[in-house]
Amino acid sequence: MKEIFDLIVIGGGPGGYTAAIAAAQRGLRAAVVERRELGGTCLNRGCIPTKAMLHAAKLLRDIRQGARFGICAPEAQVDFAKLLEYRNGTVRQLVEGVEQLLAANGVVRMRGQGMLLPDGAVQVTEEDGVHVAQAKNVLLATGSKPRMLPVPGMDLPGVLDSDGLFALEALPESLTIIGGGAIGVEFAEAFSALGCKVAILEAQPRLLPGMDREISQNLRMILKKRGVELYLDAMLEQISQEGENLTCSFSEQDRRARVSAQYVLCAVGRQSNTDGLFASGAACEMTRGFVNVDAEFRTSRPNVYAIGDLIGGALAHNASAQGMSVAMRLAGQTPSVDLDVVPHCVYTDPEIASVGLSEGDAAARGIPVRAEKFLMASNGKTLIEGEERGFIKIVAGAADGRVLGAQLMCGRATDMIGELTVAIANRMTVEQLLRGMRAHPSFNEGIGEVLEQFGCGAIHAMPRRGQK
Amino acid sequence: MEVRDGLKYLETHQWMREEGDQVVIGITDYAQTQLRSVIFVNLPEVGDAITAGKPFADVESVKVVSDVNAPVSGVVSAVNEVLMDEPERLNEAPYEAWLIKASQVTNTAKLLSADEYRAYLETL
Repeated sequence: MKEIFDLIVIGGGPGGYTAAIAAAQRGLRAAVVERRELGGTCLNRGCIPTKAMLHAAKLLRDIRQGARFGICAPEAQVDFAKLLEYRNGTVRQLVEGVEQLLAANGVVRMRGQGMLLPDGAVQVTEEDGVHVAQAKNVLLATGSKPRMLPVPGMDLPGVLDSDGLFALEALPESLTIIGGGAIGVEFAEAFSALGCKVAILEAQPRLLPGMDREISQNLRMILKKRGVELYLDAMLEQISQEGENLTCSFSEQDRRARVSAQYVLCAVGRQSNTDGLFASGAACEMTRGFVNVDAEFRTSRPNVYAIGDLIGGALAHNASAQGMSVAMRLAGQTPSVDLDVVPHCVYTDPEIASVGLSEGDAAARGIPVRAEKFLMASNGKTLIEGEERGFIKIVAGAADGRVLGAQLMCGRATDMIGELTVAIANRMTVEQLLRGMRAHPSFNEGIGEVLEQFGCGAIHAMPRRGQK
Repeated sequence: MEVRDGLKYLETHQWMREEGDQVVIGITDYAQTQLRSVIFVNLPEVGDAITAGKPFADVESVKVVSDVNAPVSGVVSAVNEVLMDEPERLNEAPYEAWLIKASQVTNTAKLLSADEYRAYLETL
């Protein structure tokens, strides 16, 4: 390649392909180097396949409980092969979509391993040879991969990471999931609904330890009701083969315990993916494997940027927003998105979504806040759809009423969080948010109700009772 | 309406008993009938301070949230995790399904004996 690109992106996941398309839309000559499928982890081994399985799982649960709506199909079965066809087909469709978008926007696709060279050029190792591509700017967006624990037995066959779990062609009979974070609970929800016996081992005292406490408690109650075994404060000590099964030995508070299953999923987190990324002498400064960047995503090397899971965190929309931001700056524009306000979603049933500060976060930072909650049992749409216990909480500054955070566990939470993310990014107050009328009947009305709790009370919430 | 002997009671419908240097606190049968079906219990965390007369927990029935006031001041030393999974136990066995245990107890409100509480219930 003789031409000098404006931007070469190494990594074609959500961060990388968004940056490339945004750059091309703004008149920059861009290329994406990707050695696997476009769409990265998100499309191929993460968000999309997981949510497809969760969709099928929820459908099965809804059908099996359909008699309460007068829809009786108790004989509903799981055809796992068809489910995989649907899941993999959805992934394929989205991957093809990204390929088409890149092509339509004139982004050059290089199929191979990209490696940053000391002079800032990019070496691409394709099937039929190696070549070097030149660019004014390089964006590293190689993402992350699953992290395993250094525990004896982690390398036994049947101990899987999320990639391995997706490769299974039959539904496991039983599964022990190490890790009660977002990935662990989503897999627990999906597999248990489909008929697999599931247990979760979480080292912290609660599930989703980074989220608001009430979300953890509500989820714990619901998962237990659905037959998922939960072991909290549980430190995995070793995994051993016992006949056909794998036994996890762990310490739980002050006792030792064991749980056995056909497979073990290690879902304790992810680590950055820097395999083959840096030629000798070309490495950027890193901390614990993550590439260091400044506020504009510049690395320690001139004209080299890094975004997404590679710099920390594991969130596709965060990577995309960062990619967009870099592309806009390169094109001389001011980025639109507020990168400090990041929503987090967990696709359990009910859905979970949070953004900004929880009450606990505010207390830890010494920020005086007021928090109000609305129980969705009083919401019409929630009743119509027979949802489990749900709530919406909003945290606002005590002095100025500015919305600082929101925690939702209810129907459509992952779609409703957008309204609150926008509000926080625009520094809006509770009063300003009340200017908008919300349609009825909708889950969204619940947001209006919790906002009213800051005033004289939600219309549809019974007055709170003091102890008589 | 069960009032169990051997426990102390408050007019705000909690029961209390001593367990070493801790007190165990729960709600009475009268309280749980007022609440109707309990679907969720918001308990404090171990280490939280509680203040006599102020809410330390709340209990959700389908539509109503009811505060539970602390009968003493002190520090939460244990919470009943069973209620996190099976909140309905509060209705089924209010004298077994304790809410919290507290230590460093001061400022106890006026305590009634079982008979005194029975008499008090008659007046309601």
